[in-house]
This record gives sequence, C-alpha cells and structure tokens, in this order.
Amino acid sequence: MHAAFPDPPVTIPVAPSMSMFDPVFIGIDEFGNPAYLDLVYHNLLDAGEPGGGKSVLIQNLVGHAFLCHDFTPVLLDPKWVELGMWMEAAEATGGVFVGPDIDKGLRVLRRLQKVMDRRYSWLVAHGRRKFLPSDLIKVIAIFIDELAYYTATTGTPEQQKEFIALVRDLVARGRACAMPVIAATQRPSVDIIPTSLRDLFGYRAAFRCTTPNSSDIILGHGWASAGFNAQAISPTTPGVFYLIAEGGIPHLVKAAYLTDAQIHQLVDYVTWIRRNGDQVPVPLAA
Amino acid sequence: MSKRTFGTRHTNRGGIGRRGSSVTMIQTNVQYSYLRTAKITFYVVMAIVGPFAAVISTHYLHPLAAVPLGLVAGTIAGGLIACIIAIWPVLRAIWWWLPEITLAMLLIGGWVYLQDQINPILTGVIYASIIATIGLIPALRRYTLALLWCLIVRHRLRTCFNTFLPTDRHGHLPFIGLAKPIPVGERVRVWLRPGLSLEQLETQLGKIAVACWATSVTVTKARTSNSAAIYLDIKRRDVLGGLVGSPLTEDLPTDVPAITRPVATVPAQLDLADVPDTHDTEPTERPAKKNGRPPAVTGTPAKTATDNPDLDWI
Repeated sequence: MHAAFPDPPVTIPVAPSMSMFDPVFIGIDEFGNPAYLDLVYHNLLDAGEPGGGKSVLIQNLVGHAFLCHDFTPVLLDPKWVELGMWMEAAEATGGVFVGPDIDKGLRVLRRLQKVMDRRYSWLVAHGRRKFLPSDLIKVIAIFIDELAYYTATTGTPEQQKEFIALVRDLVARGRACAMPVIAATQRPSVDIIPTSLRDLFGYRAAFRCTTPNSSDIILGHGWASAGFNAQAISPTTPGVFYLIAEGGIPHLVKAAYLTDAQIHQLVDYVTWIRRNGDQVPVPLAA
Repeated sequence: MSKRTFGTRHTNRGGIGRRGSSVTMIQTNVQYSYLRTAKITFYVVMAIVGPFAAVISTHYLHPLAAVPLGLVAGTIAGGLIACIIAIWPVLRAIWWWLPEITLAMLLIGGWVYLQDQINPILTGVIYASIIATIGLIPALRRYTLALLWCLIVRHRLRTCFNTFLPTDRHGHLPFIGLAKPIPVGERVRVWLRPGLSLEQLETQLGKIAVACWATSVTVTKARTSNSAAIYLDIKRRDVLGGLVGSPLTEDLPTDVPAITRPVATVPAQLDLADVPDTHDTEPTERPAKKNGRPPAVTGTPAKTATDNPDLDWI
C-alpha cells in the first residue's frame, strides 16, 4: 500500500543567472576552441547566401539573451519563422516583436531612439561614458532578420530611408548605452544597405557567399585575397562562417545549432519564469 | 652566374664586349659572399670586444699585459661569430633538416644502445612493437601523422619560396621556423627578410596551397609589434563538418509547462492556382533601355505584407 502524499507544491522557477554582459557562446572555431562574442558593446552584421546558416547564429544569440535577467528584446522578422518563434517570450519579457510591418517597425525604432536619448542623459548626469553590469541596466538588444526587407523591399522610399536612418542611429550610438543591434541580411551591398550603415558594424559574420566580392563586402576589402574568403566555405557545411571581431583577423567558426524543439523548450521556459499574476500575456497550458 | 644574351651570333663565345654589330648583355648576378661578411664581422667584433676586454683587464693586470689579453679575447670572440656567419649556409641546411637529423640519430642511437644491452633480434622486435603501437592506436597514429606533415610542410614551403617568391638582392628567402600541428593542418612560423612583405605572400597563397598539397593557406601576423614574424596556416582538413550542439538547454528543468501558442488563421490556398489573376496592380511597363540602364524605380511603393499571408514569401 502506497502512502498518500499531498500534491507537490508548485515549482518555483529559478531565475536565469546569466547576464547580457557575459560572453555569448556561438560555436567552435577551426582550432576546436569555443567561440564567444561580447554582445553588449558591439553591433553584429550577419550576412551570407540563403541557407548559409545566418539564422542559426541569430538563434544562438537570441537564446542566450532570453536566458539573461537583464534583457529586453526587440525582434524584427518579416519571415515570422525565425525570430517569430520567440514572440511569446518577447511579450512575456516586456519586449516587442515586429513582423513584416514597416510602420510598426518604424514606431518601435522611434521609441528606441527616445530610450537611447534618455539613457545618454542618465550617463551624462552620472558623469559616465557607458553602462556597466553593476548598473543593473536592461540591455535592449535589437535583432533584425532580413534587414533588406525593411530597407529595400517594403514601404515607401521615405519609410525605407527613415528606417535606415533610425537603424544607423542605433548602431552608431547604441553601443555605449547597452542597446546593441544584430542585423542579418543576405548581401549587404550598397543598394541594400548604405555603406555608411554597413561600416558601423564592429562584428561581421560572413556565411558562404557566391563571390569573393560578396565576401569582401561583408568582412571588409582585401580579406578574400588574404585567404579569408567566404566563397570557399563548403556548401555542404551550413553554419560555418568567418567572424571578424576584436582580434581584427577573421576566424572560421561553426555556429552551434539549436533545433526547433530546443527553441520551443527555451521559449516555454523563458515564458514560464517570467509569468506573473498581474498580466497574463500568454496563457499557460499547465 | 646566370647569363642572358640578346642578338648574339653563334660565333660569339660570350663574355663582355662588342663583336661586330651584335651586343652581348650579361646580367650580373650579385652573389652574397658569406666569407666577406664574416671577415668584416670579425674585425668589427674584434674592435669592440678587444678594447673592452683590455679595459676590464687593467683592473687586474698591468696595462701592458692587458693589451695582448684584449687582442686575444677580441680575436676569439670575432672568430667565433665570423665562423658562424661563414658557415651559415651549412647551418641553415642543418636547421632545415634538424627534425629529421634528430629523429635519425635517436633511432640509430637507440638501436645501437639496445643492441649492446640485449641483442639485435629483440631490438628489432621492440622497434616493430613501437611502430605497431603507433599504427594501431588511432590517437597516436593521428598525432604521428600530424607531426610527419609538419616535417613535410617545412620542405614544401622551402621549395615554394625557392620557386616563386621574390628575394632580396642577395637571394635571401624567408626563414622557416618550427611547424606545429593544428586541427585543420599545420601552423608554420616564418620570419620575413627585408624586401618581403605579408602582402607579397598573400598574392601567392594559391600556389603555396598547391605546393603543400593543402586545401587553402592563410597568412597572418604572428605579433602585432613586428611585421616580419608571420604565421602560415596550412589547411588540409575540414574540422567544422560535424554538428555543434548548443548548451543553452542543458540545464533547463524538464517539467516546464508548454505554453499555448495562439493559433492564427491558417491559409488553406497554398498554390499559385488558388490565387486568381486579378488586376490589382498596375501593369509593369518594360523599362526603357536608355544608355543601357533602366530608370530608377519611383512611384507606387510595394505593398506591405502586414495582414496578407500570401506575401509571406518575401
């Protein structure tokens, strides 16, 4: 005969202990060493041909960010299927998800610009030049998948220009006030993204390209001739990319892969631990 | 001495000068004389070390005795350094083959030692066992092969540099340092001589890859403070082909309730035939090919796909 146990108490989830100021694991390099990114103080341009694995890298960064206690997400994805997977988690975290709607995208970017101005005012008031982890500031990371959709495909030319101007402002000024921009596109040529915006990205991830010129557009002029040519990445190894970061020399990296099931698991967890009694943006099945 | 002759008749027998109407031009090959450099170095070192040693010796000896002592010291020091310079080509060749020479000496020395201690048959058995062990244990085999590639690559690089790399006027080539195995192949440290630059090597990377039987080669600075020290990474293996898992979900609890995702209206008409050809947009005019370039796109903007799932393909 089994003893009668009372119902177990509701599990109290433990808040994530990671911080956006921690290095983000993105995969392994060709020497077998783990590769990390310092995301807060850098902007990342993620580019390459379709199917190269851009979204794999983005998912790693988003996954890490959502497990951080100091993260406010802003996700723009006209395809819905990449960053859209995190829609519920973004809402539960107090962030925003924008689909293929440039009007909403512009509204969100204008709000971000105001937040940025206020943050700089705060820094000026405290005699500081940038935010530190000890400030306990929320890092507002702006993830934009298929940047070209907003800058060259949809909306009026005026809207596209405003979108580019706002993103350029965020990339230029957002670094010190804990508002990094992570943008993905296929080929960041000048007809898609102005050079004045493209060259502001400190980190560049070049996935497989169709020409050495495309590789140079992403990494910078001359790297293809120096042997760092994203065209040479095998099409049979998606997720491999050249990353040019702080060292100044491109490194070949294989991005860690998150399956759909793992992403759903992360979304469930993130949404669960951030639920509260006041607002129930997403109903829980259990 | 290389000699290039233009318009020389068969009757000419070479040499500098004019015979008839033909002009013989000889490209003088500047030979770097190690002996000459050694002589100069000998005198310079002797001139520095000799007086210095003599001055120090005066503290202990009479000045008349210190002078010959300084001369002797200067001669010895200068002679040693001059000898090194004079035989530098030999030393360089020894450096090129140093790993092989060391390995051969170890093998032969070990054989002789074991033969004296036991007998030749048992020595052969021990050697065969070592070779078999290396061949049968995958990790040892891979590491041994990687080391062998390091030996091969140094010689292949020397061949490359001799074949197609520009040299200075003395014919000096980059100094090839040690090679070490890396997961993708080998990393070789190279010291560039004056007259060479990293950019010049970058233009030859394709040829170097072919000569080293590699997939690709990259060249990077070994130090930020010195442009002469570089790394050549010879890549012959693809180590990034496998799947790299993410650790993000490793520590998540397993009893997390799944959220109920809102079910949007799912479109059922998913084929092109399901979408009738309505003239909801202006017919596209053929762009005028004036000066071979179509005019800039102006006018009606593209429609946003805000509420239209049919435009999700963009």
